[in-house]
Amino acid sequence: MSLSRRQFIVRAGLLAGFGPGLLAACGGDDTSPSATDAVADGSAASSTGGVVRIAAWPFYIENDQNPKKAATIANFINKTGIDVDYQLAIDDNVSFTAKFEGDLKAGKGIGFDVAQPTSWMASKWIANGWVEPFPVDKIPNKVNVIDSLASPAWDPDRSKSLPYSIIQTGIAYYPDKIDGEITSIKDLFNPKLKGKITILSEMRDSVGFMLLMMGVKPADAKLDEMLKACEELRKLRDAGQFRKITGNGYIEDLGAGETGAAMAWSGDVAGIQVDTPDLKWVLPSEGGILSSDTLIIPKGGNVDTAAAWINYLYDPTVSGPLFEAINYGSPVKGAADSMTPEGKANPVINPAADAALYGWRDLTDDEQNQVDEAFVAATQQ
Amino acid sequence: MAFGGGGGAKPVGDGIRPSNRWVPWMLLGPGLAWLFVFFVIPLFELGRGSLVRGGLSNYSNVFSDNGEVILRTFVYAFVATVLAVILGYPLAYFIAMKAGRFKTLLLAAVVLPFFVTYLIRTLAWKILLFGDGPVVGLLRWTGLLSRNGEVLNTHAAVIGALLYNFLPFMVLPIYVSLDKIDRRLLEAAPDLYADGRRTFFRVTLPLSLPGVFAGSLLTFIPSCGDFVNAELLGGDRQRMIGNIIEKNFLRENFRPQMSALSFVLMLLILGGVLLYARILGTEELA
Repeated sequence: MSLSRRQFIVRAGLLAGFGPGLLAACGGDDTSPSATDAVADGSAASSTGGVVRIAAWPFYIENDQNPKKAATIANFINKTGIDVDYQLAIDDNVSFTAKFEGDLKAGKGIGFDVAQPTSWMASKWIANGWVEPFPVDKIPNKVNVIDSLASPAWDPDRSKSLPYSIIQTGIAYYPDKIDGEITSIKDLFNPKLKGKITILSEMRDSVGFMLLMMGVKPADAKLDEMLKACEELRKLRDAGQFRKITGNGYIEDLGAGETGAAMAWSGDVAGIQVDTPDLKWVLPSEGGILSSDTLIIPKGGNVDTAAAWINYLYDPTVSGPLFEAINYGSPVKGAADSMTPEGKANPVINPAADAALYGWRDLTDDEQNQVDEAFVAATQQ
Repeated sequence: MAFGGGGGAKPVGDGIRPSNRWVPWMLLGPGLAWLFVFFVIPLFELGRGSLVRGGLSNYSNVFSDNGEVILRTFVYAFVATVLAVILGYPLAYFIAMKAGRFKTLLLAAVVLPFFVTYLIRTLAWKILLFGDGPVVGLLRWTGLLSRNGEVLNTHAAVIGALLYNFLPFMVLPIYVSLDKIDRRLLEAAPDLYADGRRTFFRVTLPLSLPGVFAGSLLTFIPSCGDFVNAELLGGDRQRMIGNIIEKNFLRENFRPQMSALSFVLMLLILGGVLLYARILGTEELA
């Protein structure tokens, strides 16, 4: 599976490589003048050379195997003269953070100028003082961040972080393997599908699904409701509903057709569909979970090169083709206008404005610990 | 038992002059230092970590939280080890006693899978065992598996994979102990009117037991701690202790419990091994 996925990424990369110039030439109408000016400023300010070291998740650039050949990175190097050291250093939030915790606490650099933990983890980094504040004047494109993500409680003026990507958690399924369609979380948890489905080991996704099924929005959930959701998950698990409870590992089984239906991340599904067109994606009627990975500058990182990279990503003509290639949502205003008509119309990349997607509220440390513990007890032990 | 025969080391201490008494310590030094830094200190840290937040209750919770997984882990490892003896012994016997000039070739064949990484070997099994793959197709066709039955995500898949991955660790020690048996003993047995079966059970088998013992440890202990096979070939119902630790050790909140679980795993293995050594009576090895 991973091979064909890789082929897909390469193909997508080629597309993106031709994309930007073409689209920039014919589709500038929708980008606001301030944004266009900002691009010019940004590239002028950062023609100083140097290197930006990026800690990234897999499948977040057009070409993971050879990042220098990814259009987004190659163009950045051309434009700014800043070299890019792109490393797939993040496999999951917890282990990535644990690996550098000691250095961060000691105030030492971690060897990266940019990292992309998920927003809830980024908020922890910020609260702990493990990040460098953004040199805001060097990131003029910051104004392009979409309104819904412009001022989270943990970084209200976005002076230390900006979203990298928007992720939807929904359901992927094979109609013929489960003899029918799935339209809701209730369908997914129907005993009829016992042993055929997988759910994610990310607490916010799985507990979030259960909360939505209980009719509670994760943004309003109280602690006892979250704990109740964990308990409900445990009951389902004890009844044998889940084939597996995994992180990224669900991709292989789903791609191979071993899993009938899966709680899934939007970008992954688009990747798998290239080889298995009968795989369907649905945002459940109760709603899906919305999350975002977040750009930060880890303590000790090179603020200048990092700012140049972040500013570059916030150019809609850069963001559009990149996110069309990787099949995640772009947090940059106007990015959709730099996509092909197909990309623009793809609900995996650009969900409808009124799509039922719900983010989590910020949890207190105590809530986080309690729910985490209940979730692990319910799903792992 | 016949194991005393191989040992019988003569006391050599008398030969060392008092001024040279530090020589053995110097020879041991690098090894001891290595063990201290990379074994004793981490173990101490792990022990200390298992007692923060909750103290000894972390240990009592280990069984109530993970009882099923602990039991499953040891059953898997035990079954895999027993099967490895049953499969590995005849193979080692054949190579050592009957293979003649093909001995080297066969030994190479046993070791050959190691030239492919552990992960790829296990993933290859996964591909073979997929629901629309050849193995499941054949099993369904013969009726050994129901029409919707599957092999992946079953106990058999995980045990089979453990067996496959650790079998060479069983074969090689048994081979070595069989190979070094003095052939004159085997010739003497028929001279003393023992038939083939009797020769095997009274001479060959007892002399090869140290190999079986070593092979069992090399199979059982890593099997207990393994998580790759259960992760790739098993499902939610096939999790082993290794999977639980792997998933949660890095979560700060769970580190004390996971440290306690690691210690419990270690103690249970140690207990099992001591019991086994006692039953088999191998002073030489235990």
